[in-house]
Amino acid sequence: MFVFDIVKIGTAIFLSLISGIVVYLYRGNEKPLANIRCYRIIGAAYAVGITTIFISKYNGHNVPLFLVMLSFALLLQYVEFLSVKFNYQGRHSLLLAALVLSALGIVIQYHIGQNLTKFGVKFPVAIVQLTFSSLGVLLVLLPLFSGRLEKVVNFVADKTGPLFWCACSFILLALPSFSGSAAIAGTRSWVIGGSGQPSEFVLKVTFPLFLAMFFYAKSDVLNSPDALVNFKITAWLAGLAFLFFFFPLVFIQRENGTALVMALTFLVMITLVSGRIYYFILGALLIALSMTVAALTVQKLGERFIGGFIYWDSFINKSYLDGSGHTPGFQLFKSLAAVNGSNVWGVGLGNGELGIPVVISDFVGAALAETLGLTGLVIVLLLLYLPLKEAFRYSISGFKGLFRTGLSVTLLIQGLYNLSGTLGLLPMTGIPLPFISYGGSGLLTSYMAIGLIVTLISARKEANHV
Amino acid sequence: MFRLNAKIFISGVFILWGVLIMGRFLLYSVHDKEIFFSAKNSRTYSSERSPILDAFGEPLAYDKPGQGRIYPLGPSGAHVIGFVDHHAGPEGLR
Repeated sequence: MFVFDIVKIGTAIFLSLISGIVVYLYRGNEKPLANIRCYRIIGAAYAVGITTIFISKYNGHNVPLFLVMLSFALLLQYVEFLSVKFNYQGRHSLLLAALVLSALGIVIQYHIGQNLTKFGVKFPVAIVQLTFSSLGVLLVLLPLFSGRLEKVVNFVADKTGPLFWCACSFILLALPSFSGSAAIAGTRSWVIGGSGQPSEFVLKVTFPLFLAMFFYAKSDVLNSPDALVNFKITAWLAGLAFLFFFFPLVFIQRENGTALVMALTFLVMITLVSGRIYYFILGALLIALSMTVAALTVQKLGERFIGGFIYWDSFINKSYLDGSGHTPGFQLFKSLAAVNGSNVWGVGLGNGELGIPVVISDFVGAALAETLGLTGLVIVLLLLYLPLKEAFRYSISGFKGLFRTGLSVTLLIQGLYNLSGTLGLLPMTGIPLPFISYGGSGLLTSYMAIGLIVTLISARKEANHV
Repeated sequence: MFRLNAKIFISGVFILWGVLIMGRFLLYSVHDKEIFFSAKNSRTYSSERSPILDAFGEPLAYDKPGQGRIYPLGPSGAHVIGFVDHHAGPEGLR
């Protein structure tokens, strides 16, 4: 009974502190002292969450792991120290949002408690998540606070063009095919023996960069009232995007999830830039039609789409493809079963029966929803919305406006699609939840995206630059 | 004007998407669908099942807290304690 109360109290304190941070971030009225307090509050919330799980799930065992997990709270204080040391004058809201999401991600992975083997050594997933979150924080925030990231952005904007990033992206996406790494779940997306996913870097950095550069270069044409001229340039852009981004993703890597997020990002950006809402409607119909045709013609996609989404309850115990042994509806069933009964506050940190396949990455949303309930889900959604809200506060014209909007849209779409797949609203296609899903490349590139958005917002006053 | 409308439209789409996600969560959070009470859902049974023993008292299946059901003989004991076939489902072959 006492342990159960600790779960309730610990989870309540954790959710309260995190909710307070989210409310402060949405007020949009940053104050230096309040920002510093936020870093401390996130650290405190994180420590409470980890301690609750240590007591309720681990029963006080594995103290070294617990102590290592607490080090993230110290890192947050170090970040606060760095921002003061470098006299950082930019906005803190998005950094704080990223840190809250990271803290949530590490807490959830610690709660899940799975291990994995990398390069022959067994690690708790939570340690890997902590390591990459810490790396992401330091590798991005140090250049951001020192002003070097802004110089890099200016250099890239001045010296490179859209075709350069097309070529770079194509090379990065083709790299896994030449690296000798084996396919995982039918997807050849990783380099260096199953680690390192170049498609994450392309999705969250080079693709939005390419779009921003192209839109800026052709802004006069895109703003033209002549619909035919507008359509021609859109078709040219779609052709380039297909050749250099979608083709290697779908036909070389077989990474359909990333291609889908890119397609949705493209759709949103072309709608915003052209101002033509019918582009969005037509594009959405085209994407839906493509997915349907793919599901009907490619058996493996049909397994995921029809067996794992539309008729999932018929394939919980039954194979869709003869001889495969895969029961495609089982994963969604376990995910929805985990959510069933979690209500507004969830079952609490350290509680919950998981057993969901791939719960550390694709279906981490189910673990989040089970333990923290609707409250946890709303917190994550609000934090994912924040970059776009900040980007929309300012003009989206100009290279920097377009780039920060593209980055924000990509992060948001990735998060929304993952949660939709977890809850059976859309077919799941291996898209991670930013900052929360296990994955080093995903974490590092998510931090990169946030760092770039913050840099571009801080530099918005240079309206005439590029 | 067009661009402002597009911003509002896109914001509306994303907000609607988020509302649908929350609605879907609430639907399945309170859903009383029979399927969630099936034996495949480890959350529906919280009490430990009894062990299955052979004639010599050796366990053929038992519950271990935190690890679920343990089958010491693995697949070779399936003909004694039963199994689930992926093609035929939980009812098995008749």
